[in-house]
Parts: sequence; C-alpha cells; structure tokens
Amino acid sequence: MRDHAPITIDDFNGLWARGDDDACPLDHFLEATNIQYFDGGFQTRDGIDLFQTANQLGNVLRIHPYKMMNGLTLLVLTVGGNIHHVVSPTITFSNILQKALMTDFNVVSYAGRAYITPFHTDANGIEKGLQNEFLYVYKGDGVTARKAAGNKPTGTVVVANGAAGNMDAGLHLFGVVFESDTGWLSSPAAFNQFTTTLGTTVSFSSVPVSLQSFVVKRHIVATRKIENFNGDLDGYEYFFIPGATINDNVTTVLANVGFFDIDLLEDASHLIDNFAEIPAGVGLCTYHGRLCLTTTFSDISVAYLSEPGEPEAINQVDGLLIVPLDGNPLTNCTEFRDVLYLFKPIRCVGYHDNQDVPATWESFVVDEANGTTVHGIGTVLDSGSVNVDYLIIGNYNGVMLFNGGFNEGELTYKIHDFWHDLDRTLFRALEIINDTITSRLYVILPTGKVLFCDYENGLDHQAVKWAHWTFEVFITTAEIININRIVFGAKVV
Amino acid sequence: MAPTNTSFATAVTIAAFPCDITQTDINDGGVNFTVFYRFVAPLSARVIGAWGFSGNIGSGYRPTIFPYTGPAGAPVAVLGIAAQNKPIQFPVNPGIEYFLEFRKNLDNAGPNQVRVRCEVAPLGNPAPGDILVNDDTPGFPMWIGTPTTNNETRNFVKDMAAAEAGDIVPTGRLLLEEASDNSVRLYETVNFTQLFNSGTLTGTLRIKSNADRNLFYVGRYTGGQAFYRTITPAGVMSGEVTLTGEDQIDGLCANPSNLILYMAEFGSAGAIRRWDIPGVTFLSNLAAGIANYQIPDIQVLADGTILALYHNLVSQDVNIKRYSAAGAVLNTYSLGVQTGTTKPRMAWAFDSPTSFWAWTHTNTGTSIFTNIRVSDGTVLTTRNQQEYESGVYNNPETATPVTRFGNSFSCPFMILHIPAPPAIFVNVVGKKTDTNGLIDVKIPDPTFKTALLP
Repeated sequence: MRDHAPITIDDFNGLWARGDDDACPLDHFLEATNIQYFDGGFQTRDGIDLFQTANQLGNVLRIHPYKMMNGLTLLVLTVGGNIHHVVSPTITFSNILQKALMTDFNVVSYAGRAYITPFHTDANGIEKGLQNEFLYVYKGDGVTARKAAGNKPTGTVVVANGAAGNMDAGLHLFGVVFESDTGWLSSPAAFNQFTTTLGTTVSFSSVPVSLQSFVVKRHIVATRKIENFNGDLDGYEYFFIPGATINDNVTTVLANVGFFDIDLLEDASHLIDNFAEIPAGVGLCTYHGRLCLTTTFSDISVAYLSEPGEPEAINQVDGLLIVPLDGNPLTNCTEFRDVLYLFKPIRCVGYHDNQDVPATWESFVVDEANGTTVHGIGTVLDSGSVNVDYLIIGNYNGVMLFNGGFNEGELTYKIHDFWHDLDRTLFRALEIINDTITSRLYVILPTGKVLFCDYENGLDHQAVKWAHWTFEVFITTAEIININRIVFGAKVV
Repeated sequence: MAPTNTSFATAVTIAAFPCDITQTDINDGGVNFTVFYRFVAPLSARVIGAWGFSGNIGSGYRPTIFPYTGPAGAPVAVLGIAAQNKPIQFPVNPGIEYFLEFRKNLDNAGPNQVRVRCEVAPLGNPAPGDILVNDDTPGFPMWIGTPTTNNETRNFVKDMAAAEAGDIVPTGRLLLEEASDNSVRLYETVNFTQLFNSGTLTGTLRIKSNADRNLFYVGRYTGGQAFYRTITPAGVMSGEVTLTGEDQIDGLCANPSNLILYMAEFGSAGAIRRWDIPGVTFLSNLAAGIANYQIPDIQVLADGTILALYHNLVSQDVNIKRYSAAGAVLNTYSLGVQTGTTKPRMAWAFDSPTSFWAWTHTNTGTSIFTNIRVSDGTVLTTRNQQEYESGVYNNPETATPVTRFGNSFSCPFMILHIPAPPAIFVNVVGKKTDTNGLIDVKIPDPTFKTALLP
C-alpha cells in the first residue's frame, strides 16, 4: 500500500441512479438519503418542526398559498374534504370549504380573495372538477367560502318619468345588475321597456332586492334608443347608466336618473351569457387579468376564461378554449411570457390573447411529448411559478426546464432510472417547489418522500445534485412561505 | 424428589417470553408442593398473561396462581389476583421483577404436574374504531380490542381511570370515572396522557357526551338528590346544577345545542325524563317507564332522535328504542335475551349517527359487541370477546381457553377516536431532529454511498 495512489474527491455531486452501478462517476453517490449539500460537501439535512402552535391540522392532502392583501397565508386541505385557512402558526380558520368528495383542490389569489376549485380523481384515474360542484370564492375573513358568481335579478323593474333633466326620447330597455362584495356583476335581468321623453329623467321603483347576502350594490342598465323593438328583452346591447347605482341591497327606488344615449359607454351585454354558477375544475391560473379554469367534470379538454379584471364573469358562449380532443384531460395551466399554456399529461399547447374573446384565440402546439401533472409546475419562492426566464415542470420524462418549450436534457438525467421507476398512475401527487434563494428544488413524490435537488452550481442536468429525503411521516404536499421557508404537509397512512 | 422452587428465593427464572414450562415434580411421596417462578418484565411489556394448569378440571390437584412484584424478600401481591387452574392477566412495569406462586390446593397421591405458560400481551398501535373497555376496578389496565376480529386484543393501556362511567368525543378526548376517589379524569387518546382531574365528586357518577359530541355531561346522585355538570374536552368544569325533583339518574344525554338533557330514572320501570337546560326545570317525560326494564344508556343523535338502551332485569331481554324528540318510537332494535346478567351498555359509533354500538353479555363470560345501523337496524358487525374480570379468565377452567387476554365485564365501553397528529411541518435550518407530529424523532438514517464503496 506504500505507493498507492489515493483517490481524492473534491466535490460530491449527488445521487446517481442511471444505468449500472459501475456507471456511477466516482464523485457521485449510489445512495444519498437525508443529506444536503454545501459547497462541495454534504451534511445531514435540516430537520423539520411543527409549523402550527395552535389549532393544529392533521392528515393534510394539499397546501396552497393564498396571498391576501396583508400577507401570504395558506389554504390547507385535510382528509375528509375540508379546507382550512392557516393565517399564521397560531391562527387558523377551520372548514372554510367542506366537500366530502374533494381529494384535491387548486386556488388562485385575486385581489386579496381566493378562488378555489375542488376536484378529485375519478375511477379512470383522471383529475376533474367535482360533479355538481363549483368554483368558490373566499375573502380571507374566516367566513365560509361561497360559490363564485351568483343569480341574476328576478322580477321587473318599474320605470316612470322623473324630473326634468338629461334624456333622449325614444324606446329604451332597462334592467338591473347585481354587484357582489367581490365585484361580481350578475347578468342583467328584471327587464322592462319604457319610452323616454326628451328632457325628462326616469325614475325606477321595484328594483329587485337579492336574497344573496353578498350582493352589496345594484346597477341600472339600459339600451340606447331602439327604433324597431322586436320584443326580445335580452337581445339588445345594454350599458351601465352612469351614476345609476344603488349602494345597498335594500332600497327599491332610484329617482330622477338622467342620461343621454351617448353617455352609455360601459357595456353590460357581455354579462348576459355568464355562468351563474361556475363549474368546478382542476387547473386554475390567471392570464392577462383573466381567471382561467380547466377540466370541469363534463369537459376535460375545455378551459374557461373570465373577462379581464372580473374573475367571476365567465361567458359560457365565447369565454372558452377547446384544446384538441385526445381523450386526455387538461391537467395544468400557466401564464409565461405573455402566453397562456395549457398542459395535458403528455402535451402542451399555447394561446395568445388577440384582444378578442377567448373563443377566437388560435392555439399552437408547444410539445406533443411533454406535458405535466396537476401540480407539476414548480412554485417559485412564495410568489408564483416563473423564475428568471423559465418554469420548472415535472412530467413522466423527468423534471425539466421550460422557457416556451421544454429544454432538452432533463434535470433528472442523473437519476433517470429512479424517476422512471416511479408509478406513473400516481403522478398526480408530484409537486415541485423552487427555492431560488438557496438554489434548491423540492420534489414531492407519490411515495410520501421528497427528492431534494441542489443547483447552486447551476441549473442544468450535469450540475445539479440530488438526494432522497425521507421522513417518519408521509409527505403529501409542500409550499414556500416567508420568501423561502419550506412547509410540508403530511397524512397518516 | 421434591421440587426445589418452593419459595420466592428459590423461584425458577422464566428467561424469555412466551414461555411454556411443564414441571412434573410437584408431588413427592403423596405431598404436593407449592412452586414459584420469577421473571423480569420485558421492556416492551405492559400486561403479562400467565397460566398454571394441572391438566385436571374440577377436581384433583389444581393450583391457584398468584402474581407478585419482587423482590423475593418482600413480595407484594398484584391487585389481589388469584385464579385456580385458569389464566390471568396483570399489568407489569418493564424491567421490574415479578413472581408467580402456584399454590397447591391439596395433597394426594400424585403424580401431578403444572404447566406454566406466560406471554406478553399484544402491543399493537391503537387505531380509530377500536373498542375500548376501561376496567371497573382501579389498578387494572384499559383493554383495546380490534373491531373486526373476535377475541383479538390490540393492546392495553395502564394507569387509566377505572370505574363504571366514561365516554369519548371525536377529538379523541376521553373522560373516565375513577373509583378510587370518585373523580373524573380527562385523557388524550393520542398518547393516553391525563389532562384533567376533577377531584372527588361524592356519590354515584354517570358520564355521557352530548349529541353534538363536544361536551361531557357528568351526572351525580347522592343523599337523595341528583345533579349534573359539564366538562369541556379541554377540561373546563362547570358548576353543578341540581336536578330538582330527581333523586337518582341512570342513562343521560343532552340533545343538539344542549337545550334538553334526557335522563333515565334509576332502576326498574324508570321513565325517560326531559330536563330543560336553559329553563332549569323538568319538562314532560319523553317516554314512560316500562315494567322491569332499566335504561343504562341514552344517546341523542345529531338529528335529535334519542336512542335508549332497555335492559329487562328479569328476563335479561335487551333492546334499544329510537324515539323522535316528540316521544314517538321510530325504531326498536332487538338484541334478544342475553344469558348474562351484567348491565348492557351502548356507545357512539365511529360513524355516528349512521350507526351505534351495543354491548351485551353471555353467562360464559363472553362480551358481545354489536354495531347496528340506525336507519334500518341492520347488524353491521358482531364481535365476541372473552372477558377477564379482576384479571381472571371469566369462564370455567379449561384446557383450551378462548384467548389469553380480554376485557373486564362491567364498565363503560367506547369506540376509539384518535385525532390525526399535527401534520404541517416547516424546514428548520440547523435543526438536528425531525418531528412526527407528536414527538421529536431522529432524522431517518442519513446515508451515502459512493461508487468506491463495495
């Protein structure tokens, strides 16, 4: 041994699970469990502690971030179909949404509110929105989430001449629109026709009151003068009358409203075909100020998009995109570089907003061999999914970079065999967290374990360092809070 | 030749569990000898089952087993347990020395033998839906059995309150009466730690959670007057309310929202009375008493209907009636005539209000646990379990006991609820341990292996 040549390993470059053991480079590990990397070395991974100190939740299936106006909080789904709002380690609002059949959910934060869609995996292994269930809106105050959108007014508004004032003469149609505490506007309804008199305002009575407690305002809408009325009350273009708003859900009269037809600029007609109840789906994201919802129970290849700035206004006729049908469901959606990407398990298509209604948007194929799963798009820090200029996406082929197309050379190249041994039928459990501050990825696996990836040396398939992380508990989900604290959820098995 | 293990000091050591030792030198020249064994309780043991069987049944040499704690110089009998030719079970502390005396009952011509069999009680993890029977005698452990298999013990829990009253709520909090000081004690079923002790509540006690399953009602009677108080699952005890006009109570349960406390008058032909909780007065009776029947248990379901367990003190017929809040009988679930005389009991099912459980007894020491669907009376599960009363096999001596472990025969029973442990975790930089939600645990085997290592 006197003249032996020592083998010096300067850097440990993580787990290798590709090909025979003999193929493992000397500076890689055949086994790497519960370690983390620093510089060129490694050490036992950091431990975990309880996040909540009061009202502790057990049997966690999914955690999603919920961005309120005053900070980031968590929505947590527990076994039994109960969603809880974890405001802080000491404050939890329990059961803000309970759906016994819900085994998963998605959420998007919008103007401080959370839009929540409950879904499950059907008998065929397809994730789709719960049957006869809906998109819900939660305001963050602990009050149970309610169905997004709502019912339109009923009855008939009564119109009469008022005092002298601005008015064009002629037949006009009038209606009422409800507005909720979340800004939702109902379809116009309670229509009535009235022939206005030049120089005489109109007064309204019997303005319908909503039984929906969340209605906080009512607006009067009107058409411009109609020359030859065909009797179709909802077949004309309605506009909000400037100033014709009742700021409560009690008063039934509004007197002396004056306007000229030329003042009718803000269109209300797009509300007519909106959903009163938006069906539950799977994918949920925002795109150009619109809320995007995919994969309802009855349409697994359809994505619905709301009006810009109105997440609860989804037009049933032209507010949708139909991805070419192939029997596979839409699994995910995200906005990236001004493009809306819709994913299936092994397909990805994109859409550009052409400034017209979504039904007119042309699709383009991004990839016919790569897609992702229902939670397979990496969450970056506590802010969203886009980092620098890429997404990190997990699918059957591995964990990959996406910059408008899937980059060649998956990040899981070194652990190719391990990845391909995972049970594809359970890939719905896949979830990716990207902590860019410490250059670490956490991949939640169907096995209840975590794949840890250190990319401090670069985010490419050669530079990343992998390790298995195991726990006494069965990890089901993860999220990032407070910039880059990793929160894990677990369940009893 | 006479045996040598005839004293505590010369006891034969049982080195490992389970053990099966046959000692054949019991008799020497027409004299039978009392023999002794010793063991150190294994580290995993909570309860030990022991049995000295001579092979004779009903006559002849039939030794009586007595367990003791050591040391040999100062043995102390364990809970007064004694059983002739029959199995026993008794709680142990790991690492402590114990002795077993097999005391002869007579001298005869012989030859005689004693077959000594000992084993450690099962140590399975309690699971939601398991059946709990806390003992009626202080010092004896609470038995946990599986809900699916006859005569299957899951585990025992030592140092639990033991008496005739108790109940559980879905959050896993368990309130039990302790007979030694007439207190009630609150436990957490995740780890069976005691959270609260009421102190002495003189008199006879009854315990039942309300229909909302979020508040315990503790009934008490003494000196010709009945009372009740509440205890929250957090251990907050209310003041006591005098049930003016009632001297004794048996079953009791409050309806949803705690507006009416239904309670059965004690003894045969007791009516079901209604106490206006906010009004602090009795209302009209829900149901008149039935001749010869007592009502040991009442459970009000979430829909406001009332289950009342009827036990005929003469014929031993057992049935459960479901009443509407107006007193109409909606269902009658017959459990038939039990051959035992021990008071039957009723418990909340894991899926309450879909179903409920009842417990009846045979005259051969068998407990029959029955899970019944509320809507139509369908029996969903019937589960038989051999009883061990005061630690002793509650059946005649036999060469083939049904099982070596079992439950006490007279006490409350409950279906176990265990809240899931906390399950939201945060990664802590520099922390050297994990948590499993209950306790800190080591990070599972950090491991690495380079290609250089074989």
